Amino acid sequence: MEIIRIKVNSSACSGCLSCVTTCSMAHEQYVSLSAGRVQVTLRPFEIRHRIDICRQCAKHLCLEACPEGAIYRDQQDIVRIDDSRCTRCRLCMDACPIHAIFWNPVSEQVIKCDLCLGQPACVEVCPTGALTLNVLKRDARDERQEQVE
Amino acid sequence: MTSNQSFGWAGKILWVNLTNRSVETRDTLDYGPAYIGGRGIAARIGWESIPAGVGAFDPENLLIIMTGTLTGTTAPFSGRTSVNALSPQGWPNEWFSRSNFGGHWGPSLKYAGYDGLVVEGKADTPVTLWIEDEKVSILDARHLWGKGSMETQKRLFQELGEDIRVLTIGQAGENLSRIAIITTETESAAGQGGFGAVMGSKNLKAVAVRGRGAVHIADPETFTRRSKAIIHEVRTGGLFSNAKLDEKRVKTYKQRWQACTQQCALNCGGGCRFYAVMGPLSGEELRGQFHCVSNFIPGIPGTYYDWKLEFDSAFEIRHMADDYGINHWDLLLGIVPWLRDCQKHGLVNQLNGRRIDFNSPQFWADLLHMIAFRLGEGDLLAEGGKRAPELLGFGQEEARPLYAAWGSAGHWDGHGDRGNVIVYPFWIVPALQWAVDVRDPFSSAHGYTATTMHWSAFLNEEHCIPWEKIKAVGKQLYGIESGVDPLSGYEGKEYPAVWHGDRSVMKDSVSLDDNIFPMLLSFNSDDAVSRADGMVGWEYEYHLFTAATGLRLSVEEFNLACERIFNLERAIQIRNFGRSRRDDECVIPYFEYPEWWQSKLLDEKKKLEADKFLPLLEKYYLLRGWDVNAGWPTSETLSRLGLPDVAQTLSGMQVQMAPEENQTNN
Repeated sequence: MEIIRIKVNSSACSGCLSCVTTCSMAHEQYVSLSAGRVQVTLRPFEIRHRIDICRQCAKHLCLEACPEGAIYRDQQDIVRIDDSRCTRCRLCMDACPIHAIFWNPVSEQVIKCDLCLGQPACVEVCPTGALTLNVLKRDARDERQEQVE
Repeated sequence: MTSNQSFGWAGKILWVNLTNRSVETRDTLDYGPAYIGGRGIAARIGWESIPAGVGAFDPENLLIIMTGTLTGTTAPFSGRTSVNALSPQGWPNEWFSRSNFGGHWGPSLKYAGYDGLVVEGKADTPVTLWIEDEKVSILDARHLWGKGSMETQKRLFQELGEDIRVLTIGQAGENLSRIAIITTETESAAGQGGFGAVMGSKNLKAVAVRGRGAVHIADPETFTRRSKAIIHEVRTGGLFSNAKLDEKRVKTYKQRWQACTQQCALNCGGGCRFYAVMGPLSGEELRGQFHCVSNFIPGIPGTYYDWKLEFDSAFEIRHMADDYGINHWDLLLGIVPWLRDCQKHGLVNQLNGRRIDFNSPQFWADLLHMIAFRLGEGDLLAEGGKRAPELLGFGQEEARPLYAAWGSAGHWDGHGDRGNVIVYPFWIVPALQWAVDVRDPFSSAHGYTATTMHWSAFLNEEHCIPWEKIKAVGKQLYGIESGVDPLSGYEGKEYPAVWHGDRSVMKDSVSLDDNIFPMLLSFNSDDAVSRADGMVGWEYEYHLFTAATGLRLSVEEFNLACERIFNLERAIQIRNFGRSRRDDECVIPYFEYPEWWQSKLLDEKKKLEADKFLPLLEKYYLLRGWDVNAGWPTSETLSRLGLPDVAQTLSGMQVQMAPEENQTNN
């Protein structure tokens, strides 16, 4: 079985924010920078913009931090939040080592990348290759697991 | 539409009076949808609230900063914002004019809940307007006054957070230069118009925004499908797709892509790149965008841009001009070529005691400094390249071929700029567009000449669309083939001039990028017509607008709104400044200079022939429904456009047949 991951190359990012707004539209049907499961911090005076997005890592720190068991890894190896069980305590946000779980003040929900369950809208819209798709074999899971850093 | 839910538009316009520090809001839909958004709504506000007799620097002048209906949505290339006010750069009158900037400020204003911002009055001390979602504060900015655009932004990032967006002026705006810009980030600016000086005159140093809310879309599914299809079409069938970075500059200067506005969907051939360059003069690493007109700073020896600078120095000069907030366009297409020609003709050799030397980075630095701070002769150059010759007492002849009209240097018209190849008869359309405008029209009207020059064999014989197909598209668009025929002379040029005039309004009102829209042609289809998701290219804007707003209006009604806005802008110039046909004809001498480039299909360089152009101008007026003697919209036209109040005002006015008496050469 193949699993997918999003590969991030922030040095290619043009700061168009299309990934953030498109993610918002795909998940919420409105456009808000607060609703992006990928976040880009524009830094107009720096060499690179900053991109934050969940790598679906195997560290499980967010799963372990959740007191309600609301975070789980699904059949496609995607780390997801069961919003019906989420109490908005935001401990997972603190636990994530790469700050890739976010608070959406519009919907008042904790949000993170769910890879659009297979076809990430952000990758499709990204014009410069800052976000690309990485397809991995499941049996290679151990090798690829520490993509973070 | 559910109650209290606005689709496309955020729903409110913020109205700030700096004199009494009051803040109120107005409903956007009191103006839209009849005026769409952006430049259109600004025109309505200008008509209602900037009476005749007000000058650009008066507290009664309104600085109207309006996002478009699509700004902040996922529509491709939609992040732009329109600045509108009485224009310090405008000549001979301070026309009600406009300028358009990209970056990310406009979308964030919408996420904060506002479609636009109107600033009236004047603060007694320098202030920053701080918009944090619905909360609006007026902050002390005395510590920022005197600082450049870059440092102002960096300080506000420190004070208010790095996720904010900032619109600001540099020292040129503070010192009321008529060529002062309003800047956001490193090179996105409302450049033309001198609107930085309007901010300066109001003691408004910056407008900072944090927007955490949302823009709602009436039909998200359709909107997304259409946006995706248009993006696919741009990427596969367009002119600007698949550009590459310059490997050498990636290594040396850390070159990377930089979107000139939110929702840019391309690795763009339009030239937007970000660099980090060690400034030879400052010894500091400077970072920012370098694109568009800035590409002329290095010079091209033997041409109009007859000087030579290294890239590093050119980049540093760009940075200085952006930081001071000086208009690159007036500098590089006006002041600098003018000074160079004056020097060649022995009229001037020094400025403030420094020898004019455009091969010297230090001279450029001195020049920018004297303009920004109005030092010595820089005080007069700060009035802009159109006013400077009169004030300095030399070089009036040298300025004539450079300044097309209205205080703007020539551009995109076969005569000015000289970097863009545009030949007869295609610059006849720009001549008409210049005639009826109040600034350089080509911030949002590249479309016609791009269609004829860039897509045809004139630009690239290998990769082009045959003339027969371009003509067939022209027939569909303008109702006449000769509008785009390379051998047609003056015939039929009024049709594309009217069409692209309204398109310019459309783009600035929904706010879409001018390099991409209107998307008329494509390499993807047999008949060269751009199509996506069942839409035809010239209706993309309409289909995005209706899916975003949920309004059930026809494409004809949408186009009529653009025509309404165009006529309303004309009416403001008439009411406030007595604009008439006599003014429009002022563009003729500029076009009577020979064209700079020659058509491959003709055996000589052409120049405008007034006896052919004047009847064409009359045809243009007739097509617009304007009186041919006055150049005014007739009462019938204004009524047809749903502007009876405008018709009533104009019917009580006399046409000024001698505009010279009305000129203000201050």
